[in-house]
Amino acid sequence: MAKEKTEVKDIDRSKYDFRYSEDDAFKLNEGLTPEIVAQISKEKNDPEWMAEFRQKSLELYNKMDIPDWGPSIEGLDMDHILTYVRPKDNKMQKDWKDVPRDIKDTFEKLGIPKAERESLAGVGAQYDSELVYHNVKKEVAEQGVIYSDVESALRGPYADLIKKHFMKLITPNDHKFAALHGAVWSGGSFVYVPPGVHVEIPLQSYFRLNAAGAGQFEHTLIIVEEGAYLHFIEGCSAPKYNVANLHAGAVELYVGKNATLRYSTIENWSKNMYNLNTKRAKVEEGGKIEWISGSFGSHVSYLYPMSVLNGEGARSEFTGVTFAGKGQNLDTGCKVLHNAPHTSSYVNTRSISKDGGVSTFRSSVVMTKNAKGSKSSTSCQSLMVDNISRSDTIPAMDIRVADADVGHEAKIGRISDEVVFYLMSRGMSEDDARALIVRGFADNVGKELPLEYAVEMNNLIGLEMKGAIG
Amino acid sequence: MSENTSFIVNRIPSLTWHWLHMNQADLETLPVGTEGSLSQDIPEGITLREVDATQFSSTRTGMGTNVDRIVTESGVPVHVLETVGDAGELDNAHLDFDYVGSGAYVNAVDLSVADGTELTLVMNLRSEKDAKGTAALQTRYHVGRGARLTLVQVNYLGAGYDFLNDIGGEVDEKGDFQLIQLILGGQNNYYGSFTELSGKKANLTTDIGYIVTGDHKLDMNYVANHTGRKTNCDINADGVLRNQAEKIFRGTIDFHRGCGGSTGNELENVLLMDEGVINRTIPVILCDEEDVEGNHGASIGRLDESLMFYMQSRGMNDEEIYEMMAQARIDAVASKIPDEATREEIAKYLGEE
Amino acid sequence: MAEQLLNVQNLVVSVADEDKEILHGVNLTINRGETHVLMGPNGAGKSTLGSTLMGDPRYKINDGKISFEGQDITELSADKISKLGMFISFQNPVEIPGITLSNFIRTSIENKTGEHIRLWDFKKELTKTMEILNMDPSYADRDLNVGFSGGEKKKAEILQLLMLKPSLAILDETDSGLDVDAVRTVSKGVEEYKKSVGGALIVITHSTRILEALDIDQTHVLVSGNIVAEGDGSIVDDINENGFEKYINQ
Repeated sequence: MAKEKTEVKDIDRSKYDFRYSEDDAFKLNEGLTPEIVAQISKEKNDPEWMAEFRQKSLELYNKMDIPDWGPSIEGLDMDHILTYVRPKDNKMQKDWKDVPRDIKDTFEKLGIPKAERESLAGVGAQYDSELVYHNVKKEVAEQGVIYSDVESALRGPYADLIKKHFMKLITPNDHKFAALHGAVWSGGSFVYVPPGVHVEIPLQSYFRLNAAGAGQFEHTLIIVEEGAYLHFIEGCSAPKYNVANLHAGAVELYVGKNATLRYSTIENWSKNMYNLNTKRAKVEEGGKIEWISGSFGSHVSYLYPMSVLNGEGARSEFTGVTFAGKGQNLDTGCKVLHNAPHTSSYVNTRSISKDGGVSTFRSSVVMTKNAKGSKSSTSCQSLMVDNISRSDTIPAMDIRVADADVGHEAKIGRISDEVVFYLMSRGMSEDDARALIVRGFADNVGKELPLEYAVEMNNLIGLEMKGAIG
Repeated sequence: MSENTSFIVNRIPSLTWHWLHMNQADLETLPVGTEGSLSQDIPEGITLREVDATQFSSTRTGMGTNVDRIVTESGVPVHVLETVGDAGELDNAHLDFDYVGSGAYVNAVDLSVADGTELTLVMNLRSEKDAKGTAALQTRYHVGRGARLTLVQVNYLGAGYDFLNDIGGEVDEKGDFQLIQLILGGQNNYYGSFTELSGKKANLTTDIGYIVTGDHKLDMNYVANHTGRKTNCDINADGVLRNQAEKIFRGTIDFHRGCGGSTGNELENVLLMDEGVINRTIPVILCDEEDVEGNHGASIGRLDESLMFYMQSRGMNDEEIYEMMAQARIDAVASKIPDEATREEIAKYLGEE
Repeated sequence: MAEQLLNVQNLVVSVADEDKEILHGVNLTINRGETHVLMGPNGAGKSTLGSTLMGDPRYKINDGKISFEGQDITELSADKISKLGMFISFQNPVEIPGITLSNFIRTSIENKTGEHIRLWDFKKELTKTMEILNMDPSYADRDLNVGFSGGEKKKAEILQLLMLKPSLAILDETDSGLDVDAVRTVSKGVEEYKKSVGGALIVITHSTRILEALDIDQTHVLVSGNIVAEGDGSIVDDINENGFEKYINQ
């Protein structure tokens, strides 16, 4: 135990050497240089191939443009990207009393125990979560499941497996922030489920993340072998508070033949965050990926989990809800690539815009010539809660096979006055009535979550609707 | 095609991922040319005059400003059709564009439908069967208060003709714009239409029917801009793709703040008849107003199972059903044309009788 | 000895996309020209049985055999079964824009017989048949079922029945949701079918209104995917008075 904690501390220092001052006098032109990336490699004791990989990613990063099609990320200081990568000052919030009040209130209202709150906020008190984490680890280890951080796995018996899969699905030339991730990634989870193993309890990443000290550029790599089953839960309903406000993680999921992976996220980054996360799953013959995705937090999000259906009969289900409140511009959705016969995808999303928030559903469904007999069905609904918000729907379909069945429906609308009136006539306050309707609207995700998460999500919607936070 | 030398047309109002290559179409050259020959049959109550391009109205169009450049640089006159106030119900007007031989032709038309009047205009686009060439047609319109414009465009162009068909205009209070387009010919067709629904209760109905065969391409961009209160749009596109045909449909319903009470519906049905076709669709709803209702539906690929079963149960095999449905798609759009001669010509062209 | 038309042996059926079994081993024999009634509470599997006989791909036959007109049709698609002479009047007929009712029927007849029919002869028969059904002749040129009311849709189905002249017609809840007048008209059409075509009938219903004018040869009661009782027309009267209770509790 003691040894592991020292290690955690080391990682902490390297990540939160943060220059917190807003004073421009301190800002130098701080681009990301090969020397800095080499320094990261050295501190992390990278194997040689990884050190090279980081350098190549850096080259790509410096060449690529920021996207011109989504929400503005002008608030990110791209000229001083180093500020996000290697903060200089050591003013990381280490004390519960320094955590912003609105976040503390939210914890309170969500009814999350104090110890867990502190650990979720990333302010130490990691004992409890570590304990939970280690218990989980022990239980699944007995089934032959590996659950560890990526850094230590890189030096362990699974080093080759990681080398074979690491950033092969999300390559650094995908987009600028994937390249950035490739250069400076740090922390995250590695899960390996052997063939035929059915993991009964959901694995939950936030214990892992917090034990490693928050995850700004964390890398998640999950391999579910033939016939195996895993439910992985990332994040939780409580706001995840980070001092540095750029998140560029990567999640790579390999779903083997006839295997199933359910990947659930209830993301609630604090509302200064730029969330530029990339998630992708590759599914082999007869396998299935189930994405459950709730986006509540962050200032700006670009988030489109992608399913690559690569084997005959592979399936993808995406269930998502996005709630954009005041000051938020959340551009979310998904991508599906049908690249094998008889594959199917099912997309069901809901988005809610309130208090001037902007939510955009963006998707792409691509069927190649290989996708004979495939099916895709998308349903996206948007709810406008007031007249100062915005909601856009931008789905794209590219179908290159005649024997296909592609359906798409989108609806945009408001809360029906009639329903509000009906509920009020039965004694409910207008706020409660509206919150009830929005909860019902987001039920597609709620009913896919384990009970405790569903309850937390519902509380969160209630809070957002009352405007008590945000 | 490098960025310097291409001309963007049909750009979608809200960009998405560039790797999809769906945000816009790029033309290698601007097909500047001479005026295409035009014959007209204009009933009483409508005036027709020619003005030069500087007097062309400047409303936004579906394909964008590069088509304005084609018109200006070609120096062709603008044919202005105007209805006279209190003319009542008029006979249908016809404009027939006949592109002779192989060449580059450009035409511009400005339609002005005065308050309370109605105009039905049928435009036929024709060329010889084997001629190769390009044609560009830009049509602008203004639909006055309580007025109605029905614009019918039927494309019978030969299989070697590239065609740019650009439309843009504005609809005033309680005005109604009905656009019916049948795309039966041509090689590479670019169609764009932009409608500003600025008047209260302004309405837009768009019905598009297309057949794309061979290795031909169809590139479309339709925008309904809702700025007035209680406006409505219905955009329906029905088509059939055969052989190695390629089609992209961009359809945008844009609800602007202040357009309360508005509704917008977009429906697309595409029948894919052969392996080798490429079908791309991007149906967009942009919403900056709470009190609106927007719907979009698309069905691409195979025919619906219950429809197949129904028709099979009446004794038809799969191939017969697909052929019948392909024909039905086009017939359903054609039947909406309020001009009998045009409906008959379409039926004849499609070899039904 | 009556000539056998349809024979169903131990039919086990589930929904194609799911593993949910709906029919658990149904047996049924229908002779040429007979009238059979299939009754049962909602969800018993009546429509599933009707659709499955017609070759609906949404249902999967797990076991059993269906013979019709002396042929094994268990594996046949609906178009082939139709050509052999089976017909179903759908509970919810689909709407098909772009195909007129008249064209649709004409194409169907030509497909079935493989022969071209003269337009004049066809129109004459169609008009006459529409008269029997009190249908406004303008419906012939309207797109199939598009904008038709519930009653008009059902009449259009019966019109097809009379024009296609099948040897077996399955009427799936043809009377449901119709007012008294519409039921009377539909019944008239069905009587006409019995009289002029002389074909066999399977009437699926959970009410009894449509049966009043028919001579019932046999009644089958389907509950939870099993035929639980069979008998003559008197079962109809019994159910009419006492409901399905005693069959459900068997």
